[in-house]
Amino acid sequence: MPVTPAAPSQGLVPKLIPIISTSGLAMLEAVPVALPDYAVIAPDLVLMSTFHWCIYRPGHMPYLALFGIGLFVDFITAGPVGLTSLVLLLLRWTVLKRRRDFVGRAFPFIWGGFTIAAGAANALRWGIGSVLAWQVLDPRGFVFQTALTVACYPIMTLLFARVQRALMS
Amino acid sequence: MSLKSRSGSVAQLFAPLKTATQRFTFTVLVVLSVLALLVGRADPLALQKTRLWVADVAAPVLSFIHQPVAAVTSVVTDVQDVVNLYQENRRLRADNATLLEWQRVAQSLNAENQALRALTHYRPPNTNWFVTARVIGAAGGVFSRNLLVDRGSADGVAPGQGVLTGTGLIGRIAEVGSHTSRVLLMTDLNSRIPVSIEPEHTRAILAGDNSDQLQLSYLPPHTEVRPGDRIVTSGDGGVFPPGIPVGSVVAGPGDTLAVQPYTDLSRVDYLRIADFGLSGVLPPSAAPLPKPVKAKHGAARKSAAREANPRDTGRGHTSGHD
Repeated sequence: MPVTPAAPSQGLVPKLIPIISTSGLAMLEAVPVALPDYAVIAPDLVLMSTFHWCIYRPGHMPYLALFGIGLFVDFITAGPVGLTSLVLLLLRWTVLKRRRDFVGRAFPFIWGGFTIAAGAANALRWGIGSVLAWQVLDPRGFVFQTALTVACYPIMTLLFARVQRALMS
Repeated sequence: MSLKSRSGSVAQLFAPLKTATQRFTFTVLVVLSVLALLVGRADPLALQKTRLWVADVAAPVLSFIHQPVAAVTSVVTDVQDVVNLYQENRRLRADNATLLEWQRVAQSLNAENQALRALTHYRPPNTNWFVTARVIGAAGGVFSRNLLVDRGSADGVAPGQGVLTGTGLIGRIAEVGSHTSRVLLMTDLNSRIPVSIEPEHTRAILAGDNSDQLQLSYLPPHTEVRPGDRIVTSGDGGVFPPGIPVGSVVAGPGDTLAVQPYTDLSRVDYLRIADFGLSGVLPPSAAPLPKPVKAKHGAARKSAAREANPRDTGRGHTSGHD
């Protein structure tokens, strides 16, 4: 599903949509879902949102916003504070470096890029988490979460694309 | 030169400046993130106030979002229940027959117990106070196992208080904000609960490892533990009274044994925070308070909590000593 590359959006609200949607998804991630093992393998909605908006609206997804959203996620989930910020900042930096390769390309290519990004992000989280806990954390949770995040990406990117067309074009 | 082309050339002029600013912002924020990680590792309680403030601020929104999410989840679980209806019915009939047998045994034991208590003037342990709380946030997953609940110091909640459901213990209060608290689940990597393995009353420590099951450690040598053995709190350490049901021993992978909690921790919606009137290893300033008063989180508690928390892995909450 090709999405149009960055085009100038009029008004403040369209400009804030990437930040608002990512913050909303950060909130949604913290809500308990009464399904067995969901908390461990829950798809990383914030990662999907960040990846999408950094490709299609990088100007509306600044580093400072990602830093704030990352801190919020870490505070609300009682995870290592700074880890999500670091992952999101590095994700934006990497995506911007490779943005020309993504814009206008077929969706499977972008999905492949996201698979690599999600794998690297979770590997980084697992590595830093293990160092902080001073023991090797069970990698299965990270692997399952990466798989589910990658599997859910097409659905989420479809929603983002609809929002983009409806509110930002 | 038209206005458009002039603004274009101005933008081109400032493009390197914009790139440099972005690069600088990125570097500063990455450094800040790493600093936050190091501070959180060195002093887990340093960021606790901010974390509790964020939880307090986000609580109304989380509570609002929770309702539609719970409705959708309930539909999914209802469908699962309907699919399993036939098998569930057969299992319940078998359970009912067994339970009726146990009921007869329990009635007989209860009568005997009452008579023996009267004979020895036994005083049962009291729960001084309890409050029911709703789960508004389930956090952590791969990093920790904890719940965010909608009761805080304004409701009388204090660090160290026990957290139970109808089926048994699930954890204890680790952090308390004004209107929210964080429950350290017993499956969390930092949780350590002194327990007794029935029927032989063998003492052990029940440790969480961020999985759904718990591990028994510090078992005395030559101890025989079998699948099906019941695990209850031992009362050692003086935070939980003895005898609170925790879980049962199950066979793990290979020859290992694990403990399955009685409560399905992924499906807890409401829970009970109980003050047993025991301060245990917690310092006086962090000890559970018997009635609703505003708890203070002082420096004394900070240093003492560190003493009581030698295994803390730097994720910002104290370990679950009993």
